[in-house]
This record gives sequence, structure tokens and C-alpha cells, in this order.
Amino acid sequence: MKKITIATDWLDGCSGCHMSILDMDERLVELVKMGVELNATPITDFKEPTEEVDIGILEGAVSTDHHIEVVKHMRDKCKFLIAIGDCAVFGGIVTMRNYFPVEELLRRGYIETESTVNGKIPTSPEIGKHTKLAKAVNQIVKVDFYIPGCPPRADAIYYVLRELVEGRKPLLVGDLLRYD
Amino acid sequence: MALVNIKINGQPAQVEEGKTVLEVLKEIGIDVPVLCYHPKLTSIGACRMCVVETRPGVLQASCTLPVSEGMEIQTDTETVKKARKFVLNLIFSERNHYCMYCEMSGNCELQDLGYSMGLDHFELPTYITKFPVDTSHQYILVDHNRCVLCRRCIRACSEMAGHNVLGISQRGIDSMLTADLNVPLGESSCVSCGLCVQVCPTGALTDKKGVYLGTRKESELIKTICANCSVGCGIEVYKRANHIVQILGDWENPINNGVLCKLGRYEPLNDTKERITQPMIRKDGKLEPVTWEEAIDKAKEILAEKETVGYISASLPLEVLSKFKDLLGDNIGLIENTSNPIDNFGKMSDILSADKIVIIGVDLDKNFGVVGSFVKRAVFNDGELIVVDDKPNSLNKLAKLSYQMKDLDKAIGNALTGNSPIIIYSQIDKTIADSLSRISGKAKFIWLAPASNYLGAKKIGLNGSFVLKKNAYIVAPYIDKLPENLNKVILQTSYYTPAVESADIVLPSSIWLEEEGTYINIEGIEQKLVKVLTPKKGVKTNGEILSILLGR
Repeated sequence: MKKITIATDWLDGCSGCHMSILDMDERLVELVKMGVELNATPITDFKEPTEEVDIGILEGAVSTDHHIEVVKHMRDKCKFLIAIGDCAVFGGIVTMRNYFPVEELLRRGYIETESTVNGKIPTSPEIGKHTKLAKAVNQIVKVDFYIPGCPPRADAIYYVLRELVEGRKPLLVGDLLRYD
Repeated sequence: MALVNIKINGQPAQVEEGKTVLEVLKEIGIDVPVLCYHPKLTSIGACRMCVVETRPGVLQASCTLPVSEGMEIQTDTETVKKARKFVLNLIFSERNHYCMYCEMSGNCELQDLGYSMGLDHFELPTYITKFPVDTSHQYILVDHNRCVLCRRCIRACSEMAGHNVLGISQRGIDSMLTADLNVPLGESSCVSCGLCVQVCPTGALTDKKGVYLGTRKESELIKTICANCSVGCGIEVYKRANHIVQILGDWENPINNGVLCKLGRYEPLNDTKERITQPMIRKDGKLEPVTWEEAIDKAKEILAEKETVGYISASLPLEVLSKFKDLLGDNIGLIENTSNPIDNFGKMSDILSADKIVIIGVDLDKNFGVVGSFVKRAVFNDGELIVVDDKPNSLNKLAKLSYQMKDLDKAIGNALTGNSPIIIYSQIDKTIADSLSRISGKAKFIWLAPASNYLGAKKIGLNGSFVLKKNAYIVAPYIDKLPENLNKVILQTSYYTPAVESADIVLPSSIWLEEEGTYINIEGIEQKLVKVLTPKKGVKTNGEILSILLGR
């Protein structure tokens, strides 16, 4: 049986799309039996792909300099890149912040929120620096397939992976193509 | 109608001259995506979504292109498909069309186009300018970020509703939907008819309350009539879990052609008047809640005295009025009693074709708004408006002539010089009645009767010729004052008002949305009111209560 390796990662997102991946339930086992191997994901020991994988999956918008690195790394390491969820596909809810300057955004989030006392804006180098605009993944690197949805249906993710594993070209129509 | 020979996707066809390519394609069942096009509005070819190929490489908007002899139309070539998807991508890139935080998601024509054309990502970067959100209007939310500049709202506001409030300011990418001379919608001349919201394909114009109560797709659709006034407009009510989500005008109803007024579209959704939900009886001078059985027994006791006069509101269905008559015989009167000297009834459509229109003593922007819409449309069709009113009248600004009530005969005299004059009036005093009864000849009349089923009530013989008695049985969904000098009052009503405080027995009854039955409108047309909501807990319908009292 041919092994098909998949790596997933998340950017500026809510992890809802990864929840949808888990929502494939027993069909995840089915995919594994068909030869799928999850190489690196946010919920495995390896967080980022170290070697080349067949399919890369990204959730979330590109919102910081760290995200740009993650996106470029994933693009380098995978043969076929899928953007899942409205944030990765369109920019999504995250782009609401594009209406405000980054300084105002951070001040509002870390200092001015009603429940915050003596707040300060974190400056640790461990944390990415916000880019001026939050963007969809395809504004940074080439994306090979899109699964929109907020979150995308588990059915849509399963359908796409299964088509790819079996060597067909997926096409989202009907209930599998949703923006909300 | 002359026929022309055309070819559609290579197939020869004979079609009627004068139709547009889009109309012809729709008739033969070819699916053409549209966005700015609306079947009830003039086509303007603004969005280019409906393009077809008329010669290789030549794209034309089918909604504004008339068919002509020898025309060869291609609807499904790669060029057409590519052009349509490009247009869609441009529209998505222009403002904020992120469905995940739009209340109209699932209810949006732009979203439906995205789905049907398989748009799974944006090919163009999105425009990140923040557009204003106008929350100034009582009922309508304007989110310019969601606007696709299709101008449907503008055309609906001018062509169908006749109000001419909306327009476009600026040009090109700076184009903005504007009310009046660029004022917030809430401060504009908008009369809250809401037709703009009804035709908006996206989430740019939404019903402030209804949009958060559910989508049209999740709701049950009930076609019925509005029983708020005697015009009897056709409405489409979307309901969910026994709550109204939205009310739209019924395009197919010949009375209103989809147009509604503030009262019809927004009053039921925004009704905050307190409902009565249990029967009450006055005990030791105070109204006390009782069971339905006790209240009915007590009411029967009073009715058995044979000393009771009945008053009923002509806003109730014929079936209810008839039962009331069965219960009390001829000794009943209408709460809204009046008399009308004219017994020929013009049609709403007569207003549109009138060359002279007289309005007597009624402000159509405030009451009978749909009639106001028709009058305004007639004025823009070169009809001459003559307003006769002693009070300030919103339609004076459109009037060719304005008269005081004392000059009513002059106004009517002027109108009668026209070829198709129409006279619109509501409240009638002796002077008006005298003037009207002297008119002979071609004039048509629209009498804005004081209650939604007034003509129905007259038809079954309800009038004012009753004898006053000791007690009264009053049936009215809303009444704020009771007649004086009565011993005992049985009040069958829906809302708490000061009148309730002076009743002896209170029977909680349903409002029109919970009723069903027959209504006769101002044109004399009989229409069915379909029950929309299940009556509130503890409330019975007017027909039900009367049946119990009749022992049926």
C-alpha cells in the first residue's frame, strides 16, 4: 500500500477547522487504513513537517511574521497545499482587524478591554509581530486546493482527502461548498 | 406581437419582438445568473452578471438587450463562463463580503451566485476600505460594506414605492448609496415602507429586528393579507417557532404589487403593546384573573338579561362579525361607524392611470401608505395631484394645487376637467359628503374606510341603527375608551389599555395574525386572511369565544 503523508498546521485561526478534521471520526481511521499517515500536526509530537509530505493543510489567516514563516515552510515541504476554512481561504473573520491600525488593535486587546487592569502589550520575541494586514494564504504562497467554510464540514474535508488518496481531482459542489 | 427568428446556443427559435434576451432565456428555462436584475424593476445592466455572447468574443448584458432578427446567442461558452466568474470575483473584491459574519448568510443572492459558480477562493485581493454602517433608521440597518451597488433599492424606492428617497452619490469606486442629499437614512424623507430591504440581494439593507430572528430559508412562509387597514395588501410572512421573522410585500397581489407601508411591514414585528393573556372579572371593584369557564358563565349571565347592546370592531373577519350578529341580533353597532355617500369603488390600479388625483383630508405618508405610494407613482407618470387639507400634508410638496377644505368644490371641479380623475378620501363630514354626492360622471373614488373589514361589515348589514341598553358587549382587538353610562361591560380585547380598567368582564382575544377569515377591502375585493400565528397561551380567537357563547 502506498503511503500518503499529510501535515497540518494552524495560523491565525480558532482551531475550529482542526475540530472539523477530528469530526471525520471513524473516517479518520478509514483514511489511515487507506495509507494516510499524519506526519506533523498541532496535536502530534511533531508540530511542523521535517521531511517532505504529500499533502499540507493550513488553517487560519496569515496575520504575523511567524505565520509567514510557517506558510512558506509548509509550501516548501508539501507537494499539494490545501487551505481549509474561511480564514485560510479568504482571510475570514481575522480580516476584521484590517480596519484598524495594529497599534490600536493591540492597545484595545491588551490594555483597554473592560476586564483588564494594568495590562501591557506583550513584546516577547516568542510571539509573532502582526503584519499590517491579515491575509488569505494564497496572498503569500500558491495554494493548490481550497475548502472554505466556517468551519468547513467534516464531510467536505473527508471527501477531498479521499479523492486525493484515490488519485482523483476533487470538486466541491452542493453542501460541501459553504462559506459559513 | 411580431415574432423574430433567433438562435439560442445554435438552436433556432421564434420569440416575441420587444422582449429582452434574459426574458426569453428565462422563459425557455435557460439558467442565467443575475444580481442587479429584478423582475419587477426596470433593468439597468449594472452588474454584467447576465452576460451572453452575441458574436464570438462579444459579450452583452442579456437583461437590457432586446431580441432582434437573426440574433445568435450563446449562453454557455467558455468566454461567457469566464466573464461571469470574473464579474463575480470583482464584486467580491470590492467591499466586505465575508459571509461568516453577515446575518444574511444563507439568505443572500451574492452568496448563492458564489456557490453556483463554484467560487472557492478570491482571485483578487479584497478592498480593505471601511465603509460606514448607518444605524440611524428605526427599522432599517444600512451596512455599506455589504453593498454591491446594484441599485435595486433605488429603483424599488422610486419605481415601485414612489418615494424617491434613495440615490447614488459620487462615481466609480467611490459610489455610495445615499438617502436624500446625503443624510443618515433615519433623518431622511424615508417613510419606512421597507421595499428597499425586500429587494436587497445582500446584507446591505436589512430589517434591524427580523434579520436576527432567523433566515427566510429556515422559516415557514405564509401568504396572507395585512389586516391593519382597509387597503388589504398581500403579504408574505416568514415565521419561525410561532414568531414573525419578516414580512414582505406579495409581488403577485394585484392590490399592492409588493409594496407595503410601515404599518404592514414593521408594526407586527415591533409590537410591544402588552397583551392580555387571562380572562378577568371585576370582584369588589378590582379585576381579578379567573378561569375561562368562570368568565364565560358570568358573560352568559349578563347576556341572558337581554339588556345588552353589542359594539364590534369592523377590523374583524366576516365570520366573526356574523357570529356576533347571530348572538345579539340586530342590536349591534360598529365601533368605527361612519357613512359614505359613494358606493362605487375604484381600484388601486386606477390611481396609476389617473390624470388628476384629488386627496381630501388624509396624509398618505402617515396613513394608508401604500395608497400614498400609488399616488406618488401616478404623479411621476405625469398625473396631476390636488391636495385638499386644512392641516399640513406630506404630499403637498408633490401637489400641483393645494386647497383648503372650504374650497373643496373648486378642487373637485378642477379634477373633473381631467379624462380619468380619481378622488381619494377617508374621514367624511357633512360638507365632504355633500360635495362628493354632487359629483356625477367619470370620476372614480377610493374611500379609505376606517377599519380593515368595514365594507365586509356593511355587506352583512352591520350599521349604526341600534338601541342603547343597560349593558354592552364590546369586541375589539384594541380599544382605548369605552362608551359611557353603561351598567356592565363585557370587553373582548387583545391589549391592556385604560379601557380594560373600566370593564367588568375581560375576555382575552387574538390579534389579526392569530385569526383567519374573510375580508373585503376598499376596492370591494374579497380576500382570505390566513392564520399566521398560534394564539398566545390563555388567549382564544374571537370566533372561538363567540362560538362558546352561542353554545355551538
